This record gives sequence, C-alpha cells and structure tokens, in this order.
Amino acid sequence: MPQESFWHKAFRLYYDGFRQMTLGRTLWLVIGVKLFVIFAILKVFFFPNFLKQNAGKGHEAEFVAGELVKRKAEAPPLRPELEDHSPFPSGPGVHERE
Amino acid sequence: MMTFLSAVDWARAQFALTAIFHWLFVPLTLGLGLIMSVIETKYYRSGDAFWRRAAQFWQRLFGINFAMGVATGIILEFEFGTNWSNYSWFVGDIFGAPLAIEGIVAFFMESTFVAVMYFGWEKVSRGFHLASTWLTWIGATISAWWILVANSWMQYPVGCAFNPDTMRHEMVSFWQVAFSPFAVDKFLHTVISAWVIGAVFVVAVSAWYLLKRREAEREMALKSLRIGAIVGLIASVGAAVTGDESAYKVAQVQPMKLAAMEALYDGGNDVSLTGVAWVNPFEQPNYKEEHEAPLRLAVPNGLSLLATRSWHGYVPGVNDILKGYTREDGTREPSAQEKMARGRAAIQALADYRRAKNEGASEDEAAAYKQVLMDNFQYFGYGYIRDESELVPYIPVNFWAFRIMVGLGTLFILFFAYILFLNWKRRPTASGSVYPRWLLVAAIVLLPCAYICSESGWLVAEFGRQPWTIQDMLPVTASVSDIGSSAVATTFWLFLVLFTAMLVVEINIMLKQIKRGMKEVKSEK
Repeated sequence: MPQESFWHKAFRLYYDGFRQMTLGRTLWLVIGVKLFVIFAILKVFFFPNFLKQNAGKGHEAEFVAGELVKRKAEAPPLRPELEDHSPFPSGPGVHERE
Repeated sequence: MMTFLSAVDWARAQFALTAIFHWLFVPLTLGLGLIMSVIETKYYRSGDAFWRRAAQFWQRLFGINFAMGVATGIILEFEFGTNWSNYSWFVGDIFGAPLAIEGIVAFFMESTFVAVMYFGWEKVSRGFHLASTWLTWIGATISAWWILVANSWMQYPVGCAFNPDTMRHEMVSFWQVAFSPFAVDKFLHTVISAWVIGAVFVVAVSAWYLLKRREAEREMALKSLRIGAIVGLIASVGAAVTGDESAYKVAQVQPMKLAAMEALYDGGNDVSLTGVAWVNPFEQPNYKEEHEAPLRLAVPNGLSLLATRSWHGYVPGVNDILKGYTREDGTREPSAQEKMARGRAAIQALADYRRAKNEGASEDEAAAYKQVLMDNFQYFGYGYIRDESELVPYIPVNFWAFRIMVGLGTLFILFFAYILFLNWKRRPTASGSVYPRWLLVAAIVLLPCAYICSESGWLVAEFGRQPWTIQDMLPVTASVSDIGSSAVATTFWLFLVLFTAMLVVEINIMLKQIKRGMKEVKSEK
C-alpha cells in the first residue's frame, strides 16, 4: 500500500475531524452566527472607518491634525514664571495664539 | 440618560463593556490550557488511559470557552476605527504592529494545533499530540503577550518618535516596545493571574462532581482537584509577587494611578500602606481638603517600601502630583499647571509647524516650531486639560477595585494551600471524602470571585490611567472621534444585549457538558 503524503494526511485529519464532531457542531454553529453578526452586521452598519469617511484617503494626517489642534484647552491667565519657552521673541511658546 | 453622557463617556463605556466581556474568556483559555496540558503530560509519561480521558474531558471544556471567545476581541479593533479614530491615527504602527503579529500568530498557531489537539488523538503519535496541546496553550499565551505589549505602550510609551508631518508615532526600537519593563511585568502578572482562574475553574468543577457524588467522575475529580490546587497555589503566589513588581513600576511611571489606588492625597516619606479606609464608592473624595481617607487602618511604611523599595522612600500623593514635587534623586516633577502650559505650547507649535509647511515658509522657521513641539512633546496631552482636577482618576473605583483584587488574591492563596494541606494529611471526613462539604461548596462559590478578582485588576489598570489613552500624550477627550453620543449609545446597548445572549449560551453549553461528565469522552482504542 503506498504511503500517504503529508498533505493527504493533513486533509484527512481535518476532514475526518469535522465529520466526526459532536459538540463541535454546536460550537461551530455558534462561531458562525457570531462571525456573521460581527462582520456582516456590526462592521458594515455600525462601525464604519471614521477617517475614511470624513478625511478621505491621503488626507488623514491633515484631518487628525485639525482635530487635535482645535481641541486644545484655552489658556488661563499666565503666571510670570511660565511666560516664555519660545525660541522667538514673539514666536511660538506658551503664549497661545488662536 | 443618553443626553447626560457625552460621546467620550459612551465610547469609554462601550470599550470597557467589550473588554470586560472579552476578558471573561481569555483567562480561562490561558489557565485551563495550562492544566489540560499538564494532565495530558501525565498521560504521556504514564501511558495510563485514565489520564487520557481526563485530558480529553478538560479539553472539551477548553474548546467551549475557546469557541465562545473567538473574535470577541476583534470588536475592540472596530471601536478603535470608529470611536477612537484620532487615537488610532496618532498611535501609528506602534499599536498596529503588535496587533498584527498577534493576529497572525493566533491564526496560524492556534488553528493548526487546536485542530491536532481535537482531531488528532487517533491520527498522530502521543508525543506529537502532547506537543500540539502545549503549543495551543503557548500560542494563546503569545497572543496575550502582544496584546499586553500594545496595552503597556499606552501606559508607558517608549521606543517611538512622533512625526508631525504624518501625525503618527513611528517605532524607533521594536525591542523597547516589545520588551519594555512595564510590558514584561504586565504580561507576567496578567498571565499568571489567568492561571489562577483556570485553577479555580478546575477545582470548582471537580468539587461539584464530589458534592454530587458522581462515581463516574470521582477519580478524575479528585486528581484534577489536586492538580488544580497545585497550579492554583503556585499561580496565586506568583500573581502576588508579580503584582508587587507591577505596583512598583506603576509608582515609577504612573504615580497618579498609585495615589488613586491608595487614596493617598498628601504624600511624603515613611508613607503607610492602606489596608482599609472609608472611601465613599459613589463620590470623588475632597482630596484638596481631606488629609487622608477616614477610618484608615494602615501598615506603617508599607507604601514607601512597595513604591520605592525603601522603608523611608518618598511617595507623592494626589496633591503633590498636582502641585509638583521633588523626587528622591533631586529632580523636579513639574506641577500640573506647568505641564498644561507646556502641553498647550506643544499643540500650538504643532499648528504653527503645519501651517508653516503648508504655506511654504522657510525651513528654519518650520524647524524652530518643530523644536518647540519636540521640547514640550512629553506633555503634549496636558494641552487638552482644562482643569487640573481632570488629571485625577476616579479614586473610589481604583481604591476599592484594588482592595477587591488583593483581598480575593490572598483568599485564593489560603484556599489552595488548605486544599493541599488536607490532601497531604489525607484524613477522610465523615462523608468519606478528604475534603469537607463546606470546602467543596466554597470552591464553587469562589469561581465567580476569581473573575471578579481578575476584572478588578483591569479596572485598576484602566481607570487608574485616566484621563489618558496614551500616558501624558493623549487624553480620551482628544482621542475620541467627532461623533454623536447617540450613535455610540445605540451600539453600547446593542452590545450589552449581544454579549449577554452570548454569555448565556456559553454558560448553558458549558453547564450541559459538565453535567454529562466523562460519558462523552471516548475510551482509548
């Protein structure tokens, strides 16, 4: 009798295994339903890619930069010891400019 | 209720719900995987068919849990893309790389070796089968490693550099990210504590068979209970040791989290470790006015030792961290106000840099703005903080969750030690069993406690780092997408229903399988 190849043995392992499942059938049914709900319902209808929808391809950095800059907190009145970390006399530093 | 909560609150609640649900399955996979591998090793070494049937029995329960947990983590990634898009972009490849490795490893290792473990009993050699069982468990553990690396980076961001042109973090050192001390500690503590859940599960199921006097399962239950208790004792002691090391790391890199865990408002030297105190679970304490929580019982110098490894070490409290303090080595930690000012400077510099680039300003001007950004970048996230009180996590959750975790962890050490003591004494009770009835009932009661203990650990880790998604770099308010709260609220309730239904299904299948016992486990051919 010719010896079975590795691939044939591997195929038989999965084939026979799936065929003889008992509890496994229930579990695969649960997995199938779960994957359907996750990928075909939740992903499609409830979880769009926000950046893809709002920024457009190639403009994500610009969009995120805009979001992060516009959410900056307002500055309270400055205390003297915090007055300037800027390399310019009137350039960027702790003197916030809107 | 919907109108009172903002999008960030709903997004956080949804993420927490998903993560808590996902974490119901993962620790049992890691813990039961270890025990079933140990039991199959006994079969491999002895050749005794009893051990084979015992291994097959536990592998069936492992399979149910594994199947129920599959893909629940993917929902977290959906949430990143929809609810946390600023964070997802900002974090760049740092987060993506570990998750991608996790996905590939999980898919190839687990799908290959799980199949051999379940389908290969009659088809592969005993040695190969044993190797597959261990590799299934190792594959799951490696998956956990990469997830915890990603989580640890958020708590202690290292090995990266921010690129203001792409608005993303770029990995500078893979090894610093993958083997940061924070990640190593988190991995050890999390995985070892997952073994405790596996051990409690095995002991609880075995105890149920003994309580029900199921003769067919009696031998399996007695021997499994003993193995479970050995693994459980080693793991619960290991969880305490690694937990201590984790707390030490938290003290170094997230002192506010430690202060919240301990309800330490004003720190200093020779700080005691709080055993219990009255911290109102429903209200943030007035940490500015109260010196310490009322009715406090504490271990003298305990917190100094835990946080600094010195009896007299300095531990900052909430107010010290807000006001700024001087560390033991003489370096100064800036006040919250200073950090907030530098954070705003960084954000302004980012805006100026990008404007300069877009408007074609000189390279020198752009470089100067970039320099300001980088000089202040370590406090970038503070630029979104409007009031310094936002920097204080919700103390009651941290305080009580930490005590629940440590209290239950200590109880598990005593519980497993007592089981092994009775086992060693081997003096049967009136019922003829080595174990008294109350202990068997306690074993079953402790099963939900093991999950509460584990989830409490996550509450401490995640509530304690608020307001940050990435420590000091990005708070949740800047990370969240600009979406309506009602959209996130809708999916939150949808998930609650879905997850509850799935949990009911899993518990139902699991209980049915446990009731069937060894009946369905095939005898050796």
